Amino acid sequence: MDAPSTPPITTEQAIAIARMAHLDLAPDELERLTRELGDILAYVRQLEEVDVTGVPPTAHVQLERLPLREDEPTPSLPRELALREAPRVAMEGFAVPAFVDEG
Amino acid sequence: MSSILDRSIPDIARLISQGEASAEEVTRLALERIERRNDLYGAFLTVQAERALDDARAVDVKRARRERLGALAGVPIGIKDALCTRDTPTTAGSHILTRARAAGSSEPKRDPQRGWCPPYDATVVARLRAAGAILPGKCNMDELAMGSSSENSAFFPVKNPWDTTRTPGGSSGGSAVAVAAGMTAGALGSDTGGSIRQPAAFTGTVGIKPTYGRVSRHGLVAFASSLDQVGPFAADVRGAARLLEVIAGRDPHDATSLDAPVGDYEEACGRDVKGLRVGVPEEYFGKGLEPGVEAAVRAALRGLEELGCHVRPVALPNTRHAVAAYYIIATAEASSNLARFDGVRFGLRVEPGRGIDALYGATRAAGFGREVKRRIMLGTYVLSAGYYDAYYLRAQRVRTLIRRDFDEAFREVDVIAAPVSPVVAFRLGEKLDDPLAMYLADIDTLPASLAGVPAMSVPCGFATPPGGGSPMPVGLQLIAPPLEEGRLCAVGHAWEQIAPVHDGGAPGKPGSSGRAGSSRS
Repeated sequence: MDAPSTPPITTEQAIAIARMAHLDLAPDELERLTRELGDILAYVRQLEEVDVTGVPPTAHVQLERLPLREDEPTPSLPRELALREAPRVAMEGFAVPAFVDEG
Repeated sequence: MSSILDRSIPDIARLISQGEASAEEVTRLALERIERRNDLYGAFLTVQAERALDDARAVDVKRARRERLGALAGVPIGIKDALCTRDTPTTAGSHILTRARAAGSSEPKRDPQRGWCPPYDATVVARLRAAGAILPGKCNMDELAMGSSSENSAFFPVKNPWDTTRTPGGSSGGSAVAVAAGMTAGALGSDTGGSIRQPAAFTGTVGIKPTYGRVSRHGLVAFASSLDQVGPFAADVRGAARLLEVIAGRDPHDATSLDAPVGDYEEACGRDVKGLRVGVPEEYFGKGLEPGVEAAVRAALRGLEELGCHVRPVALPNTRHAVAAYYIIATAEASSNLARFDGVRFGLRVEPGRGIDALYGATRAAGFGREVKRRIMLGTYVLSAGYYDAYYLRAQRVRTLIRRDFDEAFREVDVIAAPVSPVVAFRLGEKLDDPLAMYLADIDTLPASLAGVPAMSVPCGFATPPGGGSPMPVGLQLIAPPLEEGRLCAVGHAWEQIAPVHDGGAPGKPGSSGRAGSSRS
């Protein structure tokens, strides 16, 4: 198994993870989380000692084959109800900042 | 002095349908107790007195007209705040599901009354309403169901009515306390890794985590989708059985809900358990188990023997890997599920400057608490390129081994009996700064969650905490094969008839002595 080598997680890795997770963390928060994640990862590495050769992964524990619903349209949430709790609305839709760089 | 609200749920529903009590009077009792006790216990985030009284009066009108009443007519039930309630604030204990205050406002910074108001009821909530249940409010919880002490609520912690310096467990701590303190006759919670069973054990109530897929999750704020299940709390097994019968069953809105017929759980209460094979996994009795908890659980096992059960050892050898596997799988799923909290469609929005990334990053940083951030970080890490196979895929393979343990065990026994938690309710703050210690205390509830099998916590006496203090409730965990919730109810109910009881009933109720006794009823 290509297990990562110690230490389990560096500050640079934690910064990259926080960016992927869209969390703007303050420096002290980042420092604490890096330490705590290190402790937790050191613990969960005990799974390395388990022999899982030939064992298939369990992604879910569904008992039944899930039935497909009828392929027929059903009413969905009316627009004004869907928008009711939106923090910002624009042009009858959810308002978002520009995310296409037109620069 | 005992009141109608302290009776079992089926008794309350019967007394109301027979006209011996009115739904309004029972609802007023519940609201009075919430009013009187909530400042101390913190069990409810939102209380809807007027709506509850209107619904109660509607039940009384139906009765006066001799219309058929539902199975829960007039029975007050608390709802975990992770479940959507139409037009009623739903926060899941998180600041991120609240609206920002107006600038310069004098309102509290964090206020559950500013919570997101869903446009629909969760299916389980709709089913309770259809059965005539009265829903006085929303129960406090660990933020987004992440935690084992209910201290991670973004608003205020929940306290254990048996000793208010201790936690009620979590994440469904508010639901457990609503029932333990007699504020409502029952409550709904959700259980991902023990969030119903452990608070039930810590508060001396009955809690059931049904088979994965038995109960619809439509309208449950998602944490880990391969594990989440909704289930009931009640003061006794019969009450929990009645609630489960109402909420269980296929729901077209939840593709993972099972079509299998719903069992006669209440009728199973009273069924003879003579000859039933009960397996005892010694892996649950190892290091870290408090002596008082072990004594109470072993006494319960002797009780099951007295009832005619064949108690024998059974092996669940992969139990020791459950914490590691669970905290990889659950956080991985959570990191994906929680991507929906982005400041766009509902809840909090923080816009520090230009651009979508700034909106996401600032909203999530301000809206999520410590534990949620910790789990999102862990989940993102174990799913990231280069680590996926080493952590996530490996944890899923270990999950298969844990499932196989149960498959093997249930070839030899009908039900498994074990502790719910190695410890009694711990002190507020005790494990807050040591997340790994908090995770490790979940060891006894995680395996059944990973295997997707149903499990129940039923009170089995009291134990003095290692550091001293008043005796705290202990829970016996019963685990059954998939869809055998009826078997759990049969064994739980049989045990309940001979279980040691508190001599004054649960604390917080009128007439309580506040002391634990060990006499049998």
